[in-house]
Amino acid sequence: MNRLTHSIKVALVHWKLGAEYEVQYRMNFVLQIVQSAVRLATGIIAIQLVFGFTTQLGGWTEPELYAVLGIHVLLGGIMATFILPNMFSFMYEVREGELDFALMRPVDSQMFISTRQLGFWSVVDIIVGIVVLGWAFAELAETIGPVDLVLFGIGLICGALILYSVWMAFTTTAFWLIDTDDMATIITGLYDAGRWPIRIYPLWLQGALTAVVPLGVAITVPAEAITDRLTPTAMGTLILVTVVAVTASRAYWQYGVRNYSGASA
Amino acid sequence: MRRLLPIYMVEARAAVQRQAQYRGAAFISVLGFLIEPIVYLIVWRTVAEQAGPINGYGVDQFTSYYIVWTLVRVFNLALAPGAWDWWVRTGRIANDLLHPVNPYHRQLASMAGAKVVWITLWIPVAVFLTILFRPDFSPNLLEGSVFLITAWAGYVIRFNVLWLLGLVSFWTTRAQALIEVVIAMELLLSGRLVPMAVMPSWVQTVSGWLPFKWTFQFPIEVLIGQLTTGEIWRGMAMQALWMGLSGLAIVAVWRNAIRKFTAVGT
Repeated sequence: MNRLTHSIKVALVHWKLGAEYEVQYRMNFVLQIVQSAVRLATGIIAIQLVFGFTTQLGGWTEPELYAVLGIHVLLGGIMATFILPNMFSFMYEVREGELDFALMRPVDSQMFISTRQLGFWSVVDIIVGIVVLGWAFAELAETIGPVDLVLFGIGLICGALILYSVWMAFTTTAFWLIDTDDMATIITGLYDAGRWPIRIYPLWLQGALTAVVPLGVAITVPAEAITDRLTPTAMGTLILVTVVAVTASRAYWQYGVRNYSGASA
Repeated sequence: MRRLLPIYMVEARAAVQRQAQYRGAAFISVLGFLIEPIVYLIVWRTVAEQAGPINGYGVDQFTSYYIVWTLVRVFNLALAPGAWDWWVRTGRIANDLLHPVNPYHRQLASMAGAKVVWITLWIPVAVFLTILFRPDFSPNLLEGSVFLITAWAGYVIRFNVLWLLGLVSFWTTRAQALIEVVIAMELLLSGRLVPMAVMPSWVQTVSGWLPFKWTFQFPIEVLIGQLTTGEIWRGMAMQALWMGLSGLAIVAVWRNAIRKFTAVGT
């Protein structure tokens, strides 16, 4: 427990330093707002186009799809703020032979390499996601009860943990494959597939987005909690997938570290 | 042009060999690019099943459109403008400037060569998609030949547009926001997100005057037989126009950009 507390303290120090570093570059805040606005506008236009021709998509109404979009943007913001900077930094260090400096630290190595960097201005995406979700909540208020909110919260936490675990597992392959950029393209593509409820996809794709790379289930299940269609099976699956993803990515990382012989000169 | 042709051949052949060495990575890369159209295909098939045909696009047309989309996407892959930021900021471009040939030609040829491998790797994916979604179209030899010409022309236009965008990195290291705006415009105005027939008519008019549609939708519609002969000729004329305009813009901007660049090597 002491080790975990110590690692959390180290993570908080890194985030504080990261935030202080980033606020020096205030222009990046403006640019991030432009980027977030463009992405949000694209998502809204896609939904508007669909609902220009139909009143529901595979049983999902327009406000319900905005709930999915909100979760997609929110989790995307969490990914860009806390996960991606660390994963890209790790891949770079393996390639350049600099990872030894990280592995030698007297803290948990996975925790350390996962919390050193902070994409501070991507917090804008988190805020945008919350705003979109707020609008969807207002539209769906009549069907959302306290239990739904609790399940939604649990679903979001599971979603964030799955996102982290998937990225962790993929970047760990950098120990064996030097060029992991192509894999990043796949994960990004699969994450974007989660912009729509996975229930509209054929079974093979639903299965892939639940069991193989569970990014779709990470977004759809929280959305189901607030759209009155969550089943105990879906919630159980999400929790099971989360436990498996976190455990497996941890085991994979430890296996990778054990087999890593270093590359520095 | 005669001087450049051997250089193009060498660069393209080297790219084929490079990509063939890393077949696994190239296949993963192709798979990564194909997720996007599969999602659009499923969404718009669902809409067409519920709402019926939309301006000439029913379930079959959407299916054919997005399956050919995957091939056009492989054709028009070009150098990501974001790469320029690293290339200029770290001074790595200095190496390329020492070559006697402009990096534009080397990269255009290299990306074109890589496509030979990518298109080969695309074939099994296309077979899989065809079995899964059963598209209903059978292009003839002429349509296939015209498609190849328009797809390569689309690649050159897209390469030029993204190259121009990348050149912004000579003036600022914060080009990402501008890049995102242009990519969003491409997504909405090229037929990449949806066929333009699904868009409001004023958007269709605007898209006809911009380069994006001629890199995505035009080659797709040539192959799935959505265009008349007159429309194909007009489209090819627009492609020629955009290749010329973007080429001239590159010449003008490159001359100024290169004057901005200074580097200290070791």
